Amino acid sequence: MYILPEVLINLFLDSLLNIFLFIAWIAGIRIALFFDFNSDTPYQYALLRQSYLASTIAKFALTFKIFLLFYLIYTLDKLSNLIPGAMCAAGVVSANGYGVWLLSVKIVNIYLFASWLALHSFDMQRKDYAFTKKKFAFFVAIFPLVVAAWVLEFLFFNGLDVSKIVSCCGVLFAPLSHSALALVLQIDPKIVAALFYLLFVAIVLSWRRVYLFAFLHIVFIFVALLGIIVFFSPYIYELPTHRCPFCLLQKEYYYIGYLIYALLFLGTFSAIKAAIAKALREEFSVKMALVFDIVFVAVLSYYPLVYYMKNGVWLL
Amino acid sequence: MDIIVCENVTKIYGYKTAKEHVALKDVNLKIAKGSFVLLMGPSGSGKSTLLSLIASLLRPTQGRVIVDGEVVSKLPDRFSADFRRQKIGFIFQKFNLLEDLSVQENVLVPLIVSDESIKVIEEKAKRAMQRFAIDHKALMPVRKLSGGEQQRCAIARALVNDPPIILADEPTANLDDALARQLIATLDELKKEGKTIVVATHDPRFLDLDVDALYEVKEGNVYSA
Amino acid sequence: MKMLAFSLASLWRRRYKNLALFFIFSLLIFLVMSIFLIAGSIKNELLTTLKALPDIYVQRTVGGRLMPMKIDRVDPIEEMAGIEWVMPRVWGFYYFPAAGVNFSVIGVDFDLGSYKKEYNDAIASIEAKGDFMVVGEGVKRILQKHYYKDFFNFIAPTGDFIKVKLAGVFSSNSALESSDTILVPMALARKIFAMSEDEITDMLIKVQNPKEAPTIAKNIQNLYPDTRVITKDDLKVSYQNMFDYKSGLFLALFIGSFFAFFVLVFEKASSVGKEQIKEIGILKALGWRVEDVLYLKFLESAVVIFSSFVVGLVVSYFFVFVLQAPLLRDIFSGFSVLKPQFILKPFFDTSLVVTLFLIVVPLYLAATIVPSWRAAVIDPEEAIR
Repeated sequence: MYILPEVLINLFLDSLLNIFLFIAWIAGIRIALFFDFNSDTPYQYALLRQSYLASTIAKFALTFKIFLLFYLIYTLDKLSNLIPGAMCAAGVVSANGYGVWLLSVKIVNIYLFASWLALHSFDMQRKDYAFTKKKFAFFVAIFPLVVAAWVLEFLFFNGLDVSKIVSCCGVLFAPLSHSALALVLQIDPKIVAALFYLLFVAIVLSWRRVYLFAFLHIVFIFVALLGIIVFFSPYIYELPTHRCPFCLLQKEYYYIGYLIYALLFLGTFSAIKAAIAKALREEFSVKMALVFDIVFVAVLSYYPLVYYMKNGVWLL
Repeated sequence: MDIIVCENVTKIYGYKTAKEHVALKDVNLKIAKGSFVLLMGPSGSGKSTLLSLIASLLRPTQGRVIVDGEVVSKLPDRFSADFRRQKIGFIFQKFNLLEDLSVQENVLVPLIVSDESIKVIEEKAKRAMQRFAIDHKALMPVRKLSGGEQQRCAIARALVNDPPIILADEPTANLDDALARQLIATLDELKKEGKTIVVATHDPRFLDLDVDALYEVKEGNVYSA
Repeated sequence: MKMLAFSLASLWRRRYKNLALFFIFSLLIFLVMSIFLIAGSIKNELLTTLKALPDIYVQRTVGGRLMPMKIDRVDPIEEMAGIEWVMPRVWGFYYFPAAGVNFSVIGVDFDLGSYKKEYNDAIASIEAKGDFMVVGEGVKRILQKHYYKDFFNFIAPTGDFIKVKLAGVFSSNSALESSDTILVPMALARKIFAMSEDEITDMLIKVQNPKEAPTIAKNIQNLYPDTRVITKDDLKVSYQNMFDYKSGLFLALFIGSFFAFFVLVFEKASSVGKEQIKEIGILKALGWRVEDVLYLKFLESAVVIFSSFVVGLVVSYFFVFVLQAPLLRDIFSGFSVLKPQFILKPFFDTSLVVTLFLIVVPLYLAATIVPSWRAAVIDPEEAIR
């Protein structure tokens, strides 16, 4: 276990929020099973009240957790100063077996949380509690993932060893190493860039077909991450051999990574929310997603363009 | 057309606790739009509870309350708040003014959360205060007013949004005879403007009015009288 | 806008209670922030020192204790690949009982220069003969306090007095260094520590490529198995560990006291009830939504907490860096053997402020919004009754 103030805050806040979520979960099970809008029984009135309390708790806790992920990433980045060999969060994440799982589960979770919040916001606009049962069933279903992330977080921080040397991103994201990741990284950056922009164009063109639009966004999450690693990050670092999705979170690059990832999340999630809205026959415009996408792509494209204008050559 | 409908409404305070108290038992009631209705009965008979249920200030333990076609007993909070603001003018027995605020601020309270601009709501508040002759004390803290003035302030506040339904709970209980008669006259006047008025009281002076319906509330039951 | 005006009016009506809250929170933020600032400042100080250090230290240990080593080890190391220079050192701590202070007495070759720019500057203009010393500003102050105007008597391990002239004073970037360092000629340093002519305390090494330091360290270790070889990174990590551990411990302590505080506020806020509950009930009866009530309470709380935060922050900066943290710094002096005075140098760390903000905000929200929320979800009828 490594006691860094940021680590303590992460664990403390996460635990506190999970206690609240646990309370909501207990009520959620009852509501998911027995809520019936047309019934006028005392039990139904009790559930009505509980559903209000539980969803308010869940709303605040889950919203907070989305922000907390960015704080966790910040903490990982900070830890890289202390763990020998790590130059950025990449090394910290790979410091023990739990890191990659922790980060993956947390990322999946914020999409689930945001989906729940979307469902909740649609439900709150209805007088007839049309989505209340669905909302709580969904909440009950994703709660195990909340617990999983929490356990992983403890295991991860507990397993951090400051005397063990880890690899830096230069090694982890080098196309020559023999891992599954490396295989993907061997793809020619030009192809990745082409894929990235083509997909972006496809997204813009598909805005009328909401389900396709959302599906393309889910694909876009992966393509964009790959694009950042192999194509865009060298331009951000102005170094052809430096490919890393984490270093751009650092001060040297003006913390641009936080903006980039926040935009990616907002854009892709807004598209998912539009699809949820359509499935529920509610209104949510795809405009929001498009705006975030365009800003996201513009911010990323800025780096290669400026590099080219300054130096007259492309890096890769 | 019935603007207020109660279906099998039961209200038990402290339900499933040791302090269980049955306030209303299986009440069925229909009130027509634009009528003046009296709920008569001794204090503690459940008539205040009935008013609160209609105003969506309270949820029943069982049954449903429908106002203006909407099941208000189950409205989610934000809708029930909007419902109270737009549809209900509630005149409380103990006024329930915010004592430290001025008359004007009290009258403004229901308007602050609306979407209207400051200019519009101030105009509305001014008109309401003028109508109930309290505008000359607009900036005075409520606790410095006399009982009658406080009553007028409370009415101005209840009616500032021009609600179609007016509920009054023992409105004459804290007033002297002259003020009480004045209040009864005001309510009668509001009825003539087309508003639906429900008064819970045991004050016989209301019986002088030409009311549309009279109910007797006794130990949680409502009888037509 | 309408709501903000209303919330300010509402704050004003309960001004005594809110002022009390404001003071408590300012004090709390001030305390926590001061501790972070002191710890951070000391840490920065040490990192400055570390940065000036050479890449590798070589010491000899016998039975786990540091022992002097023979000077003939220098040449073989100097000939290894990748090494820029090797600097043998003779130095040690000298305890001055009258002041209760440890001085670092460092032997320097006054003809050749030293590995450290400050030392070189310090000795450049010195042309003294015999036993003399150049001291940091802080050291000079201590000596003067004990009436040593222009010399100092060292007591060698043999019991002999060694009278040393004060030849000069140097200033340093690092406050810690200037308050405990004494530079003397090599021969004198050996005399003070009773070491023989061919012995040295340790070696400093600069390598050509800092990234190669770990490899070179391993080679030295292989060449002389009885040495302990420390790279700069090792030192850096262990220092950082120590400080983060310390401030982590303090944080744990403060989370504890925060928690106690939180329980107190919560207790008070939830029992405040009656008047508050009734007011919220009236607001709701008049058509306010729960979120409107919470928004009002949020505005009220935000005004209190933001002003406390800013005031606590500003006052702590003033307290630590202008007043030099009287009383509080004593808590921290425990981990440095250096009793001499040092100066806390101002610095600004965004993450520190963000971190503190993240502790304060959720707790304050919990302590004020939650009780209001609990009052706001009561059926208005019950609240008014």
